[in-house]
Amino acid sequence: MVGTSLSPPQTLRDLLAKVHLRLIVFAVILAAAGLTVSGVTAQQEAALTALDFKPVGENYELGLNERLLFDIDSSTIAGSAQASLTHLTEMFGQVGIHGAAIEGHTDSTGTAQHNKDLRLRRADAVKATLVQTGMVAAGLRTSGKGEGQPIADNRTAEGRSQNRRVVIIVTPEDAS
Amino acid sequence: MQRSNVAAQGSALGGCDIVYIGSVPVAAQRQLTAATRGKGVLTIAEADPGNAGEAMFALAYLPQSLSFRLNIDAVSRSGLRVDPRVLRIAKVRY
Repeated sequence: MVGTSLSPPQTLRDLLAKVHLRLIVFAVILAAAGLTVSGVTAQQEAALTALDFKPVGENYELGLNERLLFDIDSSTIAGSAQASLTHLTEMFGQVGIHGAAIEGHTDSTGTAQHNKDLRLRRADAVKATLVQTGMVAAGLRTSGKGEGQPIADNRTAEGRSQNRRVVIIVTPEDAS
Repeated sequence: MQRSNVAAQGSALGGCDIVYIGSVPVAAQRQLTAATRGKGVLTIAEADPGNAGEAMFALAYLPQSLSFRLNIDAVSRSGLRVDPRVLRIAKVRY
C-alpha cells in the first residue's frame, strides 16, 4: 500500500495530541474502504470490532455507491436516482443513520439567479424523496452549491451532465 | 505501507492507494481529487470545512474532538466501495 501525505506545519504539541486519534480514525476509514489494515493497536482493533468490520477478503453486505444526476434544467428525480435513494434510505436505516447534508449543484449554463433556484430545488427534491422512502425530514439539511464546484468540465456535454448533481454528505453525528 | 510526500499536482500520484491531502488551497485539493477519480484511490482531506475539495473523507476538527464527513458522491466516483458502518464510529475525543 502506498500513501501520500501533504501535512501542513504544526506544533509538536498539536501533532502529538491528534496523531493517536487520527490512527484510530484512519484504521476505521481504511477498513471501510476495504484497504488492508495491518499492525493495528488494541484500541484500533476494538474500534473496528465495535463497528462489526469483517476480515479483509469478505464481501460487503452494504456499500455506498450512489450518484444523483439530473437532466438539463430539471429537478425531477430520474428513475435511476429514485432507485438509488430508496437503496440509500434502506442502507441508512440498517446502520442507524438518521440525517445527512444534501447539496444541490448545477452546470454553468443558465443565469446565476436561475441556477441558485435550481440547485435548491434539486436538493429539496432529493430530500423529499428520502422522506418519502422513510427518512425523517428534520435530519436532512439542504443547501445549494451552484456552479462554483464543478466535478467535471463544463465545456463538454458529458462534463455538464456530471455537474448537474446532488451531493449527499454524512457524518458520525448523523448516526445514532 | 509506504509514505511519500508529493507536490499538489495530480501527475505525481501514480501508484497511490491513499492520498492524504493536507492544508493546501481548495484549487489544489480539487486538482488532486480529480487526478485520482475513478482509479480506486482513497482520498482524505485534512482541511476542507466546506467540502469543496471533493475528497471522499474530510476530517473535521471540533473542540477537543475529531470527526469526519463522508461525501457519497465522491465515493461513487472513486472506484472504491465504502462500508457505511464507518459512520457508526463515535466522535473521538482528545
